[in-house]
Amino acid sequence: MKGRFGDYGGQYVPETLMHALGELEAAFREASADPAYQVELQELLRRYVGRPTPLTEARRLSDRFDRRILLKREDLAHTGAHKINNTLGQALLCQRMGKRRLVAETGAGQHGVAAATAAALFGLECEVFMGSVDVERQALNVYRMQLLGARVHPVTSGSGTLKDATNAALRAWVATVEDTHYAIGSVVGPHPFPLMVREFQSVIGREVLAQCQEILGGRPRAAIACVGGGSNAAGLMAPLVDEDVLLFGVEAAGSGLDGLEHAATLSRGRPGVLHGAYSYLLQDDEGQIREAYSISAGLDYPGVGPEHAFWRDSGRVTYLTATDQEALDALHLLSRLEGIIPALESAHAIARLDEVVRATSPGETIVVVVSGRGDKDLEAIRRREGSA
Amino acid sequence: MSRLGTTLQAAREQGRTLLMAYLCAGDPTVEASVEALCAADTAGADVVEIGWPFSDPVADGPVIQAASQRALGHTGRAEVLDAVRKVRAASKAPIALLGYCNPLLNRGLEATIRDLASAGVDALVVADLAFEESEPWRSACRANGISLVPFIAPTTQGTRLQAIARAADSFVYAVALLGVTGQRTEQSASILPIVEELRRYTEAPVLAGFGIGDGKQAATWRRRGLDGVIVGSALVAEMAAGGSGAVGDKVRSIRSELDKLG
Repeated sequence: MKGRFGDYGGQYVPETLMHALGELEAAFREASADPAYQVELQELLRRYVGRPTPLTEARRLSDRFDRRILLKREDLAHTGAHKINNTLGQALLCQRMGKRRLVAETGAGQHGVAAATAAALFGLECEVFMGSVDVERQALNVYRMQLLGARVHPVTSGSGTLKDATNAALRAWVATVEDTHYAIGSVVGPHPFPLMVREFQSVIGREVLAQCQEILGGRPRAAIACVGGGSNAAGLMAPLVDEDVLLFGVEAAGSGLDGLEHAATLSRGRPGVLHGAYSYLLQDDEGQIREAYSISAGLDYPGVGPEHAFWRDSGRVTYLTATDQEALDALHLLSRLEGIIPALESAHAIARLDEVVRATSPGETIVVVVSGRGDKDLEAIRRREGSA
Repeated sequence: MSRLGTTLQAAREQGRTLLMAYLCAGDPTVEASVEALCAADTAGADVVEIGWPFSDPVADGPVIQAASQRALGHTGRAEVLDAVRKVRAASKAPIALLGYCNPLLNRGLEATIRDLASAGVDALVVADLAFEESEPWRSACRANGISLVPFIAPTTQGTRLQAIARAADSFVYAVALLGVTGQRTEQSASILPIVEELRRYTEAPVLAGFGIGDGKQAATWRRRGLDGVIVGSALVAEMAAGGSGAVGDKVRSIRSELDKLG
């Protein structure tokens, strides 16, 4: 079937959107084969985003774990996270399709900021849907989006978080589909979004391969990234799945996997349909979608990209979890040992280095994606840890 | 002929405009929703449509979202099936079930469709099931004597429209506007050319839904050549304001406007 990763993926959307998905798929295929588009995107990534992002030797962290640890520095990309790789690609496509307006969903606001940035750069209108609870929690990112010229719509329906913001963005898209593109923020949603977003983020994995060739003269032994919807992980892994590299994804275990306060979709969920795709979901016995929870707003989504579901079932990627506390400890560790304050999302990947160490031998190399910088989380961390 | 087929054919022979009335199961209670659906039948609905509440109804506007939220806590699969059985026992009207994919897939697609059929469902309408994904659903429905109702929208084009027309085995659900469910002042005409093209490939009746809230608006669709209308949010709002009596009154007023057209 079309747009599937094994059993997962597909196009579970209202009929109204099917034409736009077909149009998007065609535009994406044409653009992928168009050298002029590729050159334009490469130039933007180089001169605007600042790519390639460095692969930093983490010397003190390496000493601590007795492995050679290299950090893929997406925190140094413009806007402070990998999200910009995707929004620039989609904004270019939007322009190519002759659409003038972007809608986007956002949780913590990182994708919303990246979408607003790309919209500003291309002179597109931008409407960002954000759960009302997240609007409160991430006031600074709301202001950032507004500075960039985007309109931020607080979403009060449901639980007022990312899941509901995604529903609202889909509803807004249905109503304006003729002149509007939905710039989805992760490798989720109906085909072709999971494939397309993975392709835009694959610049991460391609750079890792090239940089490892340069630094190591070969491949790393293992690579690890955090997984919410899973876009930075998919971008890392897609170019590596056919290589002899151990791959690990880390989901948010929140307050712990035994309760309901977590976002460990692949570890604790069951397959089902949400936001256009068949994939693993957090759901109750009735097939109603549950709220996800994590200290990291970028990971608390009750679904996950369908390609991760496929990699999970095939065993190609090992999916682990890290709790809120483990992520916080990892954030402190990286800050003190390397002078890099990672986003709480990325800290989940650092937190499970212990498992990757167990699967590798002394001296072998591990690549960790630092998907974003921690500035956005500092206020929340300061409040939680009660320091002044 | 099936219960639904008989109703559709009788309407065609009598020149009667079809009226499908939607309410959400369990809003505010299973019993109250059953009573109101029966009231809609008595007041002149030809088909009653029972909604299976879902946590993330992306095709629905605020009114039906709120109904879904009100129902969710106490309306699971067992209660939805119970509502269907009770309406089936009390009414002769064909029953359509409106749901979203995930709750329907939850205990296995075939088992769920079998249970819906034995409870008395005649047609299944799945808001987030694109035609491209519908084949396993359609064969499970056929095996159980249920019709899977296909959608057309103002954006439906080309070869897809022909395939959708060929799959229609009862009626076609025409989404009358770009957007989610909920009453509108204006009645967009953007679906009309799509309906016209669809008619070249199928004789199945075409019912317009989304945004139709009163008798005058319903009559507009009859004059535009549609075979019937689907009214949802307006009835859900009546239900919230005045219970089954208000639902019956609203259906009666829509029916009388439609009947004036003959």
